[in-house]
Amino acid sequence: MPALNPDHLLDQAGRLIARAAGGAPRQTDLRRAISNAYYALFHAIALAASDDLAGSTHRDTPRYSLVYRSVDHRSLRDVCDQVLKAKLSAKYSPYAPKGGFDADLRAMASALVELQERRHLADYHPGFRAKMSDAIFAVATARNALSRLRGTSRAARKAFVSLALFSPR
Amino acid sequence: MAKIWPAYDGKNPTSGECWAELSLSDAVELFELTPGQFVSDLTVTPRFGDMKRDLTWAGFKQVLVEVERGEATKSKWKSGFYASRIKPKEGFRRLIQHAVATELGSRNVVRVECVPTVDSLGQDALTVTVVLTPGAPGRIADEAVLNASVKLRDRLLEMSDYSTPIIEYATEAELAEDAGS
Repeated sequence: MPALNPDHLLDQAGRLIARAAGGAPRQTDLRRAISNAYYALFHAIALAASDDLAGSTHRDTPRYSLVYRSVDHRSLRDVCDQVLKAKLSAKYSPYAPKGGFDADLRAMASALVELQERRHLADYHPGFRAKMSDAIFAVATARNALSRLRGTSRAARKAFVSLALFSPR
Repeated sequence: MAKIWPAYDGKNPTSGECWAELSLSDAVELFELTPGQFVSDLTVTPRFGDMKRDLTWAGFKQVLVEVERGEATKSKWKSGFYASRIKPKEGFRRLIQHAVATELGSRNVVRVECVPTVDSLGQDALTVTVVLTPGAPGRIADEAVLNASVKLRDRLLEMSDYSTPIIEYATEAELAEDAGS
């Protein structure tokens, strides 16, 4: 199975923004760019989770798809909200890496919450007026969040994706 | 450092932690502090209004700046509490702007506007519109954009505001276009 490349979603967002910069920007282009920015990060997390649990050499297996499709927006948001708290709740703390989540992972979590909110507005809100600056900054946020996700420690990434997949009880 | 306290009128002026700790020079600039605004030294809790009544229900009415002893000895300021002429709502907005502009660069930020709203989950949120100078989007690095978002979130937590920040970026021209459409 060819995995969806998160960087390509950002490239596409960049092209939509460039097209919009040519004249009066189309709302469709700007809104799609904002939506792509969120989905780039979403798919990067789904990839990290599936590579970790099913293995990156098994991308063409049903098991890989099963894990990939198990990452959902709400549980991702919940774990990001937790990571962003000054102190993890007792429910989540046993699963955190030693020393807690690092600054890169916290920044990535902040980006995810922010982009998810922007994506909701861009995809569903009839009155939302996307601005060029907004689209540019959404893509910048996603690009940097991707690099921080890739740069964070393996332990932190594994703990994060586990919590995104399995809600602690 | 200087501590920024939002304060109520009445017998219970504060509860919990201060809003932020800033360098004295930032505090003086943001809260337009003058030596004449000195209220009391550090041993006396400043109180305003009817001191027999608990007036916390009326919300914050003052912004106080606490200048610590160590800071005071390094500067011309006396240690103690100063009452800023800036009102709490505006003080809150300035502290948000300070957090964002520190990362994005003050020459790139015209102002920041904050409006309470709800997020996609129906929880309390704060729309923070960062108004940019012309050309700013091309000057700001990706890392600074995300750092600004983290800084803003941390500042809100510091201020005991647990709403989700929803950040919008726009230039004045883009805002004007919106207003005209």
